[in-house]
Amino acid sequence: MDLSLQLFAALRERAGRAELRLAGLPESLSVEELKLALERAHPELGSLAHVAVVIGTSYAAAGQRIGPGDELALLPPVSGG
Amino acid sequence: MAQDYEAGVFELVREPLVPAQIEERVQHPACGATVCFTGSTREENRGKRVVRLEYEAFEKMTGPEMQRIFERCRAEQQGARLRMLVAHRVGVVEVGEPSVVIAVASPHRAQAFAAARFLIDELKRTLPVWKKEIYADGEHWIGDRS
Repeated sequence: MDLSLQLFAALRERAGRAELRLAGLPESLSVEELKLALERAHPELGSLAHVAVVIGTSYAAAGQRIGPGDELALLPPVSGG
Repeated sequence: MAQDYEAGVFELVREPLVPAQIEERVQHPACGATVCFTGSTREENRGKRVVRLEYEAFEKMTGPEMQRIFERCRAEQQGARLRMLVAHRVGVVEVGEPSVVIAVASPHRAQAFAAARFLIDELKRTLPVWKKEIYADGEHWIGDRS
């Protein structure tokens, strides 16, 4: 499957754009597998160890499955307040 | 539409925040205590002089995430009546300006203090908002690789 991900803050600046596309992924993969695939395809993002994955408008757990059509976002550590 | 302060109201704001106006909105004759927390931008951080700040938000997620924080807050206060309003700046914020204001009214002070403390702590932990500090000689996203 193909996926697109929204990027924010430091990740958006490191990528030089607000959205990334990943093509040719398995039809179902876990959040951890997605992060590994991203680190391989986009080394400019750096380590994603402390990056949260959001599906829709909710944080995803590490083992959660991602499928076609999911709206995804990558969140660096938040720093509001 | 009437705003449901008992469920909790969240606003992302592009204009300067006025804490007194935000506090006034949660006050109610049933509530003898109102706590208003104001977080402001510091002139110095990490040993560097801050020129200004920029806040970015994942706007579509901030409302749902803040509602989850309000729900956790109500659960923690075990049914105490709470009237909650959280306003957060987005965009450029000058040094010394409020970046976040949290107002909570409750019948008694213990619950108002505890809820305000809970809301700011949880907001800083999970609300999808990022702060960039701009210095005379560079800039830094707070929380990134530090």
